[in-house]
Amino acid sequence: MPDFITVIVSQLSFVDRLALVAAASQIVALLAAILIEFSARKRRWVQAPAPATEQAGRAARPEIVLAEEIASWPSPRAPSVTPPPPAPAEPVARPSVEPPPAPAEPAAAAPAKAPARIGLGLRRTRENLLARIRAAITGSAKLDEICEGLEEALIAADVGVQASLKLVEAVRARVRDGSGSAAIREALKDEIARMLAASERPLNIPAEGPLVVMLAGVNGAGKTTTAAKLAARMKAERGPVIVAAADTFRAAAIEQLEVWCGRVGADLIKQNQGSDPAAVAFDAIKAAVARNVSTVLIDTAGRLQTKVNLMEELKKIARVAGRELPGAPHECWLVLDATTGQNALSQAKIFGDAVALTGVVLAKLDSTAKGGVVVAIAEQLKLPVRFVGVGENVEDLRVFDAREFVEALFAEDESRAEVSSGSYAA
Amino acid sequence: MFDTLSDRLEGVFKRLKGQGRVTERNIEEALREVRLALLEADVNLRVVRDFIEHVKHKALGQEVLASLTPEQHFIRFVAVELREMMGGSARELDLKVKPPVKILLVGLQGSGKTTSAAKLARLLKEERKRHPLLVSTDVRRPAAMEQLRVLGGQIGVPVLETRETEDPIEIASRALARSETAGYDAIIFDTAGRLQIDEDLMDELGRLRAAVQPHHILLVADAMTGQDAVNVAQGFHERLTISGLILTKLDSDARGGAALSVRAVTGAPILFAGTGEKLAALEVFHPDRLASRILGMGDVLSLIEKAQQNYDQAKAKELERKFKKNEFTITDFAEQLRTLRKMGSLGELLGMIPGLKKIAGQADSEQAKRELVRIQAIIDSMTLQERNNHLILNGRRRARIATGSGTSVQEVNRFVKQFEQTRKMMKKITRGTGRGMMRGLGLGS
Repeated sequence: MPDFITVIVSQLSFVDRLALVAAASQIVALLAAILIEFSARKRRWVQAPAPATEQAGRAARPEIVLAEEIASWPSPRAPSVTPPPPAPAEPVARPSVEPPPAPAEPAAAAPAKAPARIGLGLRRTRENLLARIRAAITGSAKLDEICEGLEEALIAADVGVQASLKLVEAVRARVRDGSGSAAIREALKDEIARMLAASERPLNIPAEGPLVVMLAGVNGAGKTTTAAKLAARMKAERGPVIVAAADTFRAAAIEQLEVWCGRVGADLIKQNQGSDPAAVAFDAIKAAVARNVSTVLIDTAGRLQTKVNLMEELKKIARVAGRELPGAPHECWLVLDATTGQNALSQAKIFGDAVALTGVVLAKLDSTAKGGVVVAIAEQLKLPVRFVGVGENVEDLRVFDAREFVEALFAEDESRAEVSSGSYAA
Repeated sequence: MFDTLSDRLEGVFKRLKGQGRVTERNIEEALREVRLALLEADVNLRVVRDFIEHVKHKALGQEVLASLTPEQHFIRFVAVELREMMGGSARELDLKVKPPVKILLVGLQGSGKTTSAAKLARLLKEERKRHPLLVSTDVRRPAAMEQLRVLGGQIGVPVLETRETEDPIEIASRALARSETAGYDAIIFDTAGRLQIDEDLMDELGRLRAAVQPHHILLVADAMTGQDAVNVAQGFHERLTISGLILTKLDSDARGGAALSVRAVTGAPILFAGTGEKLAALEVFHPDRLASRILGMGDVLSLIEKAQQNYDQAKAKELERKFKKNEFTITDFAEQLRTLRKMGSLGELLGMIPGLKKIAGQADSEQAKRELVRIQAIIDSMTLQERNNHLILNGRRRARIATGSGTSVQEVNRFVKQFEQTRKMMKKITRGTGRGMMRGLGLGS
């Protein structure tokens, strides 16, 4: 009975005229009613796959009917539709669907030359972005066209529509029609660097006691690997490290961390799979204080930001840590897969609502992904990028530096790229 | 964070209302909104361009222009095209081959291969009555093999004994031999995550394919992937000829535009969607659902799914009866409140219903959240008897509840009044009259 839903929805849309406070319980009840109706409806679909839906014309919100209709459409006539052939080449802003540049390069750089790696990772990012921006700049003359091209280039780098528009607007305000491509590029470079730099902030290192760093993120972002790399780095820089295996959910996550800790020589605090992650964090901090260890790394289980219960669990870990050691966790980083698109913003926002995020670690930047979403994150949420992961080895973790990052992105030729990536790695 | 496409298109077409007719130029404007929606959903720029071009040509020949509610027709039209582009209807994994069916899972690090391998094995075992064998060829990630072993144990599917010191190709041959002797009729090969530009590891996959001769090579792709999805898909497809896709982490709030990109590059059907951490959470993929999700058409279907997870049939029936008979008590109300909160914030849930975005924002305001906490406190301070019959709430009881919940008598009064209105409203709704709604809601003033 689509009628029913329509009625409820129309009720709900009346509610929006009033202060919501006056109608909170109505909303709860209506929502419950919708869900109850829906829970029944799905079963009906299972039994009879394509109920005839009534005409949409009368419905206050026809999209609902539409969505239902879509769900109940019978199989289409044509079994498969081959995607349309790619449009003929245009000079402006084509994302590289050609094989990644210079296939010989990865092979050449494969031997574990650590400094070269970040160069490689960044170079890919840079080449893609730069090639597109260059095409955008040289391929067209008018400022409008250039700006549109720049916008697309930025979007293609996962910077996101909103941040891209903002960047391009800023550039447009700075250059006049007829400006050289170099001037425009400089302006864009400045804007991106400014956006990234505006969110930079120093690490919150406690005056005494251990520094507690918590890593959070969605499943498969690279938290455990990042924890291992961080442990190695922190050990070298600050002395003994304790790693808390607070991913007690995923099968073999503890074993994975155990292997890593053995490799980098960090102490591991663990409990059994399925135990309370907050208790593991508690134990780790207690042990760190007792043993006078300088850094605690808490590796948490991957969780999608939409899972309310799991976000509550994350809050609890932070809360328990703070109770045992005031101020802890001092740093709380979102580990982000560089290949992630605009959902990274949602991740940063919702994880940030749960725990006080102080930074982002951008993992897997050695992929062909551009990692441009960090620009959007810096712009919208003012979260700094702390580190970038550029490979599978322990040493493949670099400190992020906004200015250097942008310089490397825009470095004009290979020699300059080497210089900037060198200084970046240093 | 994003406006829905329908909100925006409504704006575009509203501007036309005075003009009487929709022109080609207006279509351009509408398509611009579609383009933005697709880009925000992480569909690759090139794929978006092709799609827009395609839709434009088709739209111009259609009666979209003459329609009275152009935005609805237009959205529907776009949704259909998107669905077609993703392969139309749901597709089955073809198991009608000479057993054992050999399936190779490949993908980037962290895309969800190991979990998907176990989920797929469970699906084959439970729903297709197969006897699968799980094989990990991941000798790189620490404890990857252990992970698969544990997962296999959870679903009761045998996992081949392997060591991290072995060569992946050797493992594969051993698996084939084992299935021969032990009579498995499906083998799922999990592989190490790798970048599509890693020559050595891609070579390894090539050799693995030659050794295994798989019937299916499935690319496991993260629904949250951005613009780079095309490069990844292209890289794997060129080397291995991908035959199908598994889209993981669709239980996130990602719009999942990457699926469209991958599909456009490989032409391979999207077979399964990973929709949760439980091993049963692998579903046959429905292109139509993703089409409406990418377009941000309100995610009614996800809401339906959530509803189904959280309400069993008996419970739902009972509640419906209570609504009708006016037997809905504060106890029931409290339970609904609890259930809804478990499913997410009110705003989140409302946001899944098309057209309710505005309320969704309000429902998550600090003020509204505080109100819900207050309501919860008031209910918690009631005795069981009071909750089951709110009519006994006299002045003294209300004063006690106010003290107990840290609220005021006025607030308790307001809640009770609201609750009574809610009851009336629910009764009216379930009776399906639809008339006098405003009065029933008591919100007319």
